[in-house]
Amino acid sequence: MSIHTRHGIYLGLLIPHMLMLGSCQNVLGFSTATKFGLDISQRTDQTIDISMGYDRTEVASIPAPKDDDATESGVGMDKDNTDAYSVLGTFVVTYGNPFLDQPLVLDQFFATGMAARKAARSPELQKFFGEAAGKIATKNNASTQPGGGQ
Amino acid sequence: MMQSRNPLMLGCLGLLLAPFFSACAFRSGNMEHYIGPVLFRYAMPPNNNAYVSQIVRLGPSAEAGISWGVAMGLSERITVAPLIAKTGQKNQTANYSHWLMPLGFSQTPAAGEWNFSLLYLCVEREPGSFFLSRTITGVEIVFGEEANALTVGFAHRTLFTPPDNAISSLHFEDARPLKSRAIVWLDVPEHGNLSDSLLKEVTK
Repeated sequence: MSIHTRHGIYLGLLIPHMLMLGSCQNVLGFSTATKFGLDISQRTDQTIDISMGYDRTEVASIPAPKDDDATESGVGMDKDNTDAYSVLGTFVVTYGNPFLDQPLVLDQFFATGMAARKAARSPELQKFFGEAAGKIATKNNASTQPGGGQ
Repeated sequence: MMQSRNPLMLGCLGLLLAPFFSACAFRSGNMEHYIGPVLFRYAMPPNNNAYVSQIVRLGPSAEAGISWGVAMGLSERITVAPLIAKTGQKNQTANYSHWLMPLGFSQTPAAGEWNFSLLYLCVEREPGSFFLSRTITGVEIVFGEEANALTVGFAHRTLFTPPDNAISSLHFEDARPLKSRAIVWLDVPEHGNLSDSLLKEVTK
């Protein structure tokens, strides 16, 4: 094996390891990516993504509690003062061809942790999220029915 | 016939010109330093509804601090930091942001318009950015909190990290980043009686 080939193999092994070591943090994050060409990257959910050509991704990464916490869901605990991780939000992404004046537009609203629990008690927000969920369900039904589409 | 050039002279010339064709960035918690040419603009309240910074670098560039990497090509970095609103009150407290070009003719760059820093740009701000957009057209390798990626070609990444135990709202348009709107409500009332301004922002 020539020295150039070995260097290529070492580099190929090194880059994914460096990507994995880069940011292993357990945080709530929402990310988008538009790529054209060769790209090796770590997504918000900490998986390695390798793409060649055009690729488009939207990822929502929400930290989950450990299994032992989840199974006993609040038994013996003060539910108002303990919070696994509550998230309430809407995430609207509009995008087109970035080279044809079709910009990326993001509209995001998120309530996290205890604030999400409190916000969920708001009648106005309950109505807003109910309507939003209804629109999404209607759209999904229309697209899954025979002859339906968007 | 052209004579062979002196490598020493070429090296000296390269060293002299290098700062003008490459930009280095160092970012720590609340300070950012840019050495070399950068094109930038920023927006802040009261004229805007968020603290926005947009920095463009062309040619070879390097970065260190919270992320480490090198790039060759056109790279753009946009950050958005929110206004901090109190849910029960109308007044809004805010982060701070100071932009300074100590070696430039005009030391304080103008907000809301494009500025050019040739030698050194210093930015001091509260570390409250919750939205980041990075674009590279060219080649880039970067590792750190902002991204872990190797790119050859074009890549545009955005990352939104809302704070814990808060309500956050963000509107971002790639074509008009300075018009971004970002607000965070920290003190949400116990029984979900949210303020009109918050509800208006959410249901907009």
